[in-house]
Amino acid sequence: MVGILLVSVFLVATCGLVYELVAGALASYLLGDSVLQFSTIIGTYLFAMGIGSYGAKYVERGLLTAFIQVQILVGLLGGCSAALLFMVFSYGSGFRFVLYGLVFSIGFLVGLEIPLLLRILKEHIAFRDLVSQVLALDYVGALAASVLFPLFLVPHLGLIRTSFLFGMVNVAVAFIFVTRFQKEGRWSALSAESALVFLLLLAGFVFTDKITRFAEQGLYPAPVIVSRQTPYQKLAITREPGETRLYLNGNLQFSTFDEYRYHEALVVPALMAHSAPQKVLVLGGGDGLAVDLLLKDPRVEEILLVELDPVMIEIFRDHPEMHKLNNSALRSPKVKVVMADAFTWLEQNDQTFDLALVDFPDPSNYSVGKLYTSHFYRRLAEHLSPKGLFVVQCSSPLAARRSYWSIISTLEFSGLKVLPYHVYVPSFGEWGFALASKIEPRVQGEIPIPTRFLDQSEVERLSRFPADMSRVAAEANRLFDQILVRYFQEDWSRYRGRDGN
Amino acid sequence: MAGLGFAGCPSSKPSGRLRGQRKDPDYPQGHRLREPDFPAAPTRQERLAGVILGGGVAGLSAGWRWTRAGLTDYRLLELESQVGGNSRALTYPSGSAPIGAHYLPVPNTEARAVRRLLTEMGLLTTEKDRPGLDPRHLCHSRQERLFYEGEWRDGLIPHQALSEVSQEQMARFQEHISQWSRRRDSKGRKVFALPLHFSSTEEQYLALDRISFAQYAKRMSWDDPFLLWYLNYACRDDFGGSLENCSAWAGLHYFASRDGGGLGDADDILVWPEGNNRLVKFLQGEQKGQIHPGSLVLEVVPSENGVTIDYLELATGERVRLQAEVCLFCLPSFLRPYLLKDQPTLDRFLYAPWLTANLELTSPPEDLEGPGFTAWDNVLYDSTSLGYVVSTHQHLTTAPNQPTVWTWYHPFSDEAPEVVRKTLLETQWEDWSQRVLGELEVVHADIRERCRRLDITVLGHGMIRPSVDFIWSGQMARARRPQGRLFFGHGDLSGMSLFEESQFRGVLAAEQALAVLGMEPDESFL
Repeated sequence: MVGILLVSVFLVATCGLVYELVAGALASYLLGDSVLQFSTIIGTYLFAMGIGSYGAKYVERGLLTAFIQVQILVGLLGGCSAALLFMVFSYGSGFRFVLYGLVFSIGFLVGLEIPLLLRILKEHIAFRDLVSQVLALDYVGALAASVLFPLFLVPHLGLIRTSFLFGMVNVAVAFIFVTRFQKEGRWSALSAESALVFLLLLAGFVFTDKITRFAEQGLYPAPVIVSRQTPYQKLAITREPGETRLYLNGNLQFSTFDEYRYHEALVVPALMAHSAPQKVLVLGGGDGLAVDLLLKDPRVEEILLVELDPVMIEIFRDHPEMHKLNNSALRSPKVKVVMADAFTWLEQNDQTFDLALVDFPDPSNYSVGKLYTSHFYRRLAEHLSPKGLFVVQCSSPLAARRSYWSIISTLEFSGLKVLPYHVYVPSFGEWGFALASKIEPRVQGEIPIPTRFLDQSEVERLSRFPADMSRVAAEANRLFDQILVRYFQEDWSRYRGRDGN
Repeated sequence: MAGLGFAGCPSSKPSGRLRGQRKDPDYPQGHRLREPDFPAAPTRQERLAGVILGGGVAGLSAGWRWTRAGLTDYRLLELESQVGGNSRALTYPSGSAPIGAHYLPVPNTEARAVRRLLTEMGLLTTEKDRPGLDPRHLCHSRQERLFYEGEWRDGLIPHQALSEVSQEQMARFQEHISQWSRRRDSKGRKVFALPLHFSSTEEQYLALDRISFAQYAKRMSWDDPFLLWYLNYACRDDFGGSLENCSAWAGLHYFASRDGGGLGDADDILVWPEGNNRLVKFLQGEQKGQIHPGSLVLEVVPSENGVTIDYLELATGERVRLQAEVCLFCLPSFLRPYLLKDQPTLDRFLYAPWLTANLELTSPPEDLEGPGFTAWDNVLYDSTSLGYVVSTHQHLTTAPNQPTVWTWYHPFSDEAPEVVRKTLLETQWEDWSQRVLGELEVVHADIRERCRRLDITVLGHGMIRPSVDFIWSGQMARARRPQGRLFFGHGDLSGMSLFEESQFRGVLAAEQALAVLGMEPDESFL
């Protein structure tokens, strides 16, 4: 009997610390700044435990029932905490409110546990032994949790499953109490209650993939902090200390580690090639990172962003955390956002722009491939002011060499003057771009915005192609003959197959 | 008349979640001609310069020609509530889709009427003396793919998956065809022209019309199973026939007649979401006042001075008599015995029945190649169907998961047409919808979940079939002859159910009639 009670102390202590660690880890992933997150969460948790311990004295009768109820409740709240927090972060607002509310509630309940247990056990054990044993087990439980958590639980189960699992442990303790100490009333109700919560948590544990859509957690090298299936694509944001990444349909779109290289290459030469880029059109690029750079140029007065997927905007403009990635660029009064398909939008509007940035996903199928056709580029050119120009991201001139030069051929075939250039982005590899205009594009003058990567000499180097990336014969891509998609598939399968996999 | 009860049944038929209808032409009304029970005397008489019978591509093209010549005092009688015939389309929330004709090959130079039409529509423009087609309407990539040996393959010929023998024969066949397309007769005419009217009439070439395409293949030692499938597919696709029952002339014409006319490659085509209904809508444009839908033609009596036409106005039940100076018979020739006295023998006019299905999909179903790879035309090797075309293929929106409508085609190319027609009228929507889904399920596992609605159209006389010794036969020549002031201008008088041919026959009849009216145009459209 005493043995069971003491094992319970150990388990309860482990659970309590696991919830605290889950909350701290989750807040660090989602909000960044792990020192701040862990400090405030531990602080809140301990404070709430204190309140709980103090509050335990108001429980006068039915100690066992109270303890069992607390166990079930802790199991429920703690067990669901990670899933709940992910959901709130992805879909809703008020994440911090829910986070600290949960941490406080769990802390409060866990704080109740030890005083209640002490009072239950004091019937069975001498007080001197009792205090020593309970507190010792409490701290040993904490050690177990703090070792298991980073070494086993997070890597093998993930945060969501871990919390469901320990929720079940809490409820199991409650259940053991129910079955072992059947002397007071309401037992059947309590056992039914604990069985129900246990099943709920078990379902959560088993169906974590389905109910939370974080199934792809294992597909990404870092923890997923936002995951959404939009009508258009599967979107996932991962975060680990110092690096946030966006994946669309499993393909890396940017890493905060080196996105500045990509975006400076996309934006800066275009800004330098125009004497007065006042009106700028951005096609694709709903992450707002290119817009952020554009806004740094005082000559830019108006930016129109045409993005297909409203969820991209919802995340990168409206989400309380994610908008920080682009310095709230999409909230700038200079920026107007239109949710539309780029091609259709061009067909239906006749506004003109000094500059257009074309930042679409790679031409990996015939549907996206339409955005890389001569017809599209001709349409786009009609939306340029007389000295206007546009820049296109063109995949990798190294890994997909024919694809890259096919895009250049397409731009030339569309009657445009083209300046091809490339840059090295570690997370992507060698990456290609092209400036296109009705007049010869010339990148000249000062670097117009503060940069981390590009300087005058680096800009000059961009348009030099070493022998392994130099021009190869490639046909232009046309609506009714999308040769580019075939090039792209062949190029990348050859590139990926180069070391036999 | 068995089984007519359900044809054109207006009520939706739920089957689980799936809904759909038969969208057949109005067979019950049409079949009344077999056992006439109409009012004997007309209640109304009218006089007109011209009357056009039939509002398919031929009739509409005839009216288009008359309108361009300044003749507007005519009436076009059409049984259905919609004109267009095989080029009709169905409308769905996500857009329209064809029930039949769904593309137009880039016109040859000799297809002058087609070029004129496309120019009027703004699709064919000339810049710096170079004519060009609007790239938005040329079929976007990918035009075709073939499901062959468990995988989708680019194009209709899966070169990489073929055996060496197949590849060798295929290469030999293609070389053979390119010789035919380059060949000119002693007068400099193409051997196979489109419209076929402009083809060489020299005996050595017309002799090809008197053997079957199968016999020709044998003579050429084409015996590879894939090549024979490919040739047979072409016959089924364009003629609703087979290697055995189509003439060698027709089979070669299919492959060798199209040359892109300097506007594109030989196999480039123009497509629209609603198929050839795009062309129909344009042709219809200026004839709104002349077109009378819901008109069942009962009797046509030609004479030297004019033509008397009786028709039943379905809305009122009245028999109306028209006295016209000229009349164009743009209905299929099989209707002649019902409407006209003393007709020549027409026993070689065989029509292939077709069944098509329109599948309204909430989003594109799973595809073995991944999203964004569906071709416009998706063909299954060795299937009795021809596969399906995707109505939204030309959309410039690149968003995946958009609703779409597919049209699935099934010609009855081997069986006896009369037997098939009878069976088709008796079979139920449920049977065919299950058969369509069953076939597509093999390549699109979740098609049943995506399919919101499935409509079936039976075209009993879907296509004239270019049988052996038909196109260039004496019977055909006699069938084309005007009778008094009645001119015949349906596509079946070419022996091929193609837009170019229907338009040619309609415009030809219209111009012949204009000459009789003393309105002979300065320049023929043909």
